[in-house]
Amino acid sequence: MNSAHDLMEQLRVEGASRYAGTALAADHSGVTRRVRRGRAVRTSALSVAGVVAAGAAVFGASQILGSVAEPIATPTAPSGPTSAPSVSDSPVEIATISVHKQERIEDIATDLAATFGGTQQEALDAITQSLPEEAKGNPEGWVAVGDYSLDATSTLREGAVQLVAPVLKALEAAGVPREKWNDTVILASIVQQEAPAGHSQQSAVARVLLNRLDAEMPLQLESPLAYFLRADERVISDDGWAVDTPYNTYMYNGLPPSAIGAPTQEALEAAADPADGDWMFFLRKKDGNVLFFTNYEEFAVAVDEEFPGTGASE
Amino acid sequence: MSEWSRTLDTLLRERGPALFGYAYVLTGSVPNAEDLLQDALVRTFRSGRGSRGIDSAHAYVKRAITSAFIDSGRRAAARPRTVSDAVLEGATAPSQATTPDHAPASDTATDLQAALLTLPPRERACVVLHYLEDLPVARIADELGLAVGTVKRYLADGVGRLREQNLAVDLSPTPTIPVTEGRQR
Repeated sequence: MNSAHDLMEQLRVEGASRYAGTALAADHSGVTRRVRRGRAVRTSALSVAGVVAAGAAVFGASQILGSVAEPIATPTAPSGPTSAPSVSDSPVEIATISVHKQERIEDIATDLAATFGGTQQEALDAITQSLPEEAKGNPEGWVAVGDYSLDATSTLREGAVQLVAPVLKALEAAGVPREKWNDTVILASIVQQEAPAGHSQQSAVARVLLNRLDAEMPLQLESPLAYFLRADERVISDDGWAVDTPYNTYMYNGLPPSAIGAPTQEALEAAADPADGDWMFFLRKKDGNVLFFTNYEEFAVAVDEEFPGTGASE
Repeated sequence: MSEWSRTLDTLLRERGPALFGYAYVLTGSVPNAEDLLQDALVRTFRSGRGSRGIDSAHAYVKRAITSAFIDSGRRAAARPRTVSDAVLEGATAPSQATTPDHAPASDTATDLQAALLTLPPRERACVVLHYLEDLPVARIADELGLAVGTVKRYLADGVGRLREQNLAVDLSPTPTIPVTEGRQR
């Protein structure tokens, strides 16, 4: 008696031998088109309106020229619910990459890779290669928050160049000297996390951090450590916070070695052009407001008021 | 040409027959296998998973074939059915059943194929992965995203139904070769 395995293997071999006769073997452009369309549609989930507008424009143009769009369906292309919800059969492809506040560079690279092909590592390398040498080879923080509309037919590298362009532009526009670019990006990413709202708050927080750096005081911030420990993705025990890393700004003076997520344009501006003041402390209240202090006593009193029972400590 | 589309070209040229053969065992007909393979290719390359080299793409497409196959059953069941659909399929046949193409495979293989087509998609997928791919239950569960117990039940039900049909097929449990480290993806 034949074993089930052998019989199924026979079926597989038989099936394999019939592949050559299929339409798919002769021409898989239908698959390529569906993948392209799907990529464009998927990556622009947050800006469907843009794609529709582009599609409409191209549709209009093709009407004027009297050209006929290439038929999409191949004889074998399955129709119905399996096909991507295409908004347009036109060849124009706009891929939108949305960078969220504090998004990590790896996640941005994943989006980039999904849009232009390639692995996450290749996308990361492409971003790194698109940076000026001031970035010291670390791309974190060099892609600012926002929606990027990219031509989906361009290469990975071209896409990466477009992603880092706004940060470079902001640094140049603010007149930041090149040797301070890296520190400014790092500062902006921290400001973004410590004071999420409002230019006045952000530029004042940037000032506090710079004052502390000048005074060689440790920054004593939770956000770089949270970034390092990935505290946003998992629960860190109290002991888990006591790690010896340059991101531990309670332990080491100075800025952490890299940015800690994507900054907004606002935060970049705040870091490039901080407010004037001699504050050395700030307290973010539970309602989101931020208070600033020049001396420790006032700060400690405010902490006790806002967070009773924690003891007047930073 | 972007990297993924080069990978797609190579994949279809070198591995097309193998992948198609697998889809053929699952679906039992050339047109259905072709649709299934297309869907699996679109899924894989759309998500960017097809860009890590040919072997990885092969593994992803194969997995996508299995999941697309199971989904197709789920979708067909969820879709409103018209009277003519039911008539066309025959009143008793499961929605996935298709008449097998006449094939040069041996009679027993053809019988087995016909019997397989009476199984609902999930049972069929479990049976094929178990006997054709020699996968142990735990790996099947992993592959299909189902609980181990669920896979065991599908397998038992599926094999039970095949046995009822008195095929000249040895359905004794496959000798499970211990799978070495590293998942085949």
